[in-house]
Amino acid sequence: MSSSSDHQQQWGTRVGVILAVAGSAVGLGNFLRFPGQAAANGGGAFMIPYFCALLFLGIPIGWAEWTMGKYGGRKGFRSAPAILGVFGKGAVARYLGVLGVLVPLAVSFYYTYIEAWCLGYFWHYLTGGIGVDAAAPIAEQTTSAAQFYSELTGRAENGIMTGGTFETFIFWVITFGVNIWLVFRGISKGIEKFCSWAMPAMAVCALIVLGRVLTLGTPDPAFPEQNVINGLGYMWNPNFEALANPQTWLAAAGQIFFTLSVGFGVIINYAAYLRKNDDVVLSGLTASATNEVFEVGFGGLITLTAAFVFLGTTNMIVAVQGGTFGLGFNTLPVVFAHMGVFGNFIGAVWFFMLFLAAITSSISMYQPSLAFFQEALGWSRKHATTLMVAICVGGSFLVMYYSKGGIFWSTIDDWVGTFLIFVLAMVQIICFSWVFGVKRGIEEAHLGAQLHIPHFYRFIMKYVTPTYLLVVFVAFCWQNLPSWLKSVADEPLRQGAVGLILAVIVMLVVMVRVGERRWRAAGLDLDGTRPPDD
Amino acid sequence: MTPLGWVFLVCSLGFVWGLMIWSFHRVLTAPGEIEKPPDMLGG
Repeated sequence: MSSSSDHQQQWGTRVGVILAVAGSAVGLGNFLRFPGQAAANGGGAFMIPYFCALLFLGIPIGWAEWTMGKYGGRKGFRSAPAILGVFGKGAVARYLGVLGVLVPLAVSFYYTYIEAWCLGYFWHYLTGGIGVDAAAPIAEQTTSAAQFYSELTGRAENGIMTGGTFETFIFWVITFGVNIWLVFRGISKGIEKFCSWAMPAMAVCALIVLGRVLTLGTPDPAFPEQNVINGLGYMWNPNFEALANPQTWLAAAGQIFFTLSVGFGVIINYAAYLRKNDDVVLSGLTASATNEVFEVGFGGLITLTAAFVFLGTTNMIVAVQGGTFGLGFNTLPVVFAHMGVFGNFIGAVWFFMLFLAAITSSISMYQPSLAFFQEALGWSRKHATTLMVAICVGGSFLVMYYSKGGIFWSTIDDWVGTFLIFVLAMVQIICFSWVFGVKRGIEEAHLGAQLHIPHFYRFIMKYVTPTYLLVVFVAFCWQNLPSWLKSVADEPLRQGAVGLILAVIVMLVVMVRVGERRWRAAGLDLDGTRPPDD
Repeated sequence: MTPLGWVFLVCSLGFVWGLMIWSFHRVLTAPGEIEKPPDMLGG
């Protein structure tokens, strides 16, 4: 049960909530992870499993989350543990719902740090660049970019104030302060208002960079094959043999899963601020479609095309293997250095766009825990914000202090930002389709809906989506868990990160216990045994 | 860039842009905008 002031909180406009959910979904992965995954897994052919996963995995789970959130909101709940308790009809689902608070909270520990890097790069490009000399050999340029990245992110050694990372700490303070200020202002005045201008601003930035990339032509006549058309071909030429490889289907499902922010605990919380007759079906679809435009429409055209034009096929292989951060923070600065007088401007626009993408995601990570603290402890927004800030400052401080090699934060990313997202999504779709009932769930989704979920989606949401998710999850565990467990056993820093995760879980479980007593005492239907009062 | 590459590029972009434009069109032309909460009206 939330405090009375929190109960007054609601979204101001339908477009506002769509942009807020889309903003939560659009992040660095849209521009950096997607093109790398596509190029490494069949190019254009990757889009076949990708769109299958969108239709059978991403959109159905998204609809389930939107519906659960709105239904939970009608019963007076805002947080994932309380809402999943209603849909799962009992304490097991309620305690598993802790993941819906843990995931966004723990991811925010390192996400604001990465956000601060984007702000740092933006600032450096605005004030003269990061020191990559376009006249030097490519290897030397890449080394310069990698060195700047290492110094800014503190990868060389631990300690916030050492290794040249104090500047990053300042950028983090600014980033974190803006995040908390926006979240404290509330759903409508803070998050919605910010996303309503940040999303269009992000699109404008993307269009500026895209316009520059598509007009690059053949910048170096000595290498005529390194042109824009061949750069697009590097990303889009299909390799149909990849479709026979299960890894391609796994990569596509994983990409859809992470890009739409399903299983993240955010949509379920955001939707709890809707009213009974507000649409969730069309809104959910629109938010997903907006995310896809940023991913396929911008990410699929900008990143690898620009890199190919200046680096050529040989260096591209290294760039793609560098993954999300290698591509974004080591390769693209080399590309910007080759853009001549416009290079610093395009670099500044690019990193400002990434900063906006990151901040629209990070503000969504604070709201679920804020709502949960208010609901479980019965605290005011001010007190709940104070507790949340204290936890986040502690978590982020550990991430920044143990910065060497990015081991600490990447461990949280592996276990919380990847593994537990799968678990939460499975809990959600099982609660929705099997415990609550898919027929009843879709009827709830249709209350006030401006678009009806096609009838065959009952079958998809009950059988196809859970099976699809289970197969992907098992394959994912098969591929990753043995090495992850071994690395935790071998590396004290990873053990520290896992310890931090466990400590947060214990704290949240205790809070659910406290909340249960309060909700029961207030006469709320926390086990979902009766219809909503409205 | 091969012809099939162009096909995948155009179809993918057409699908995502088409879906977003169609969705926003439905959202913006539908009646029943969410009422603004009291704090928005009262400033």
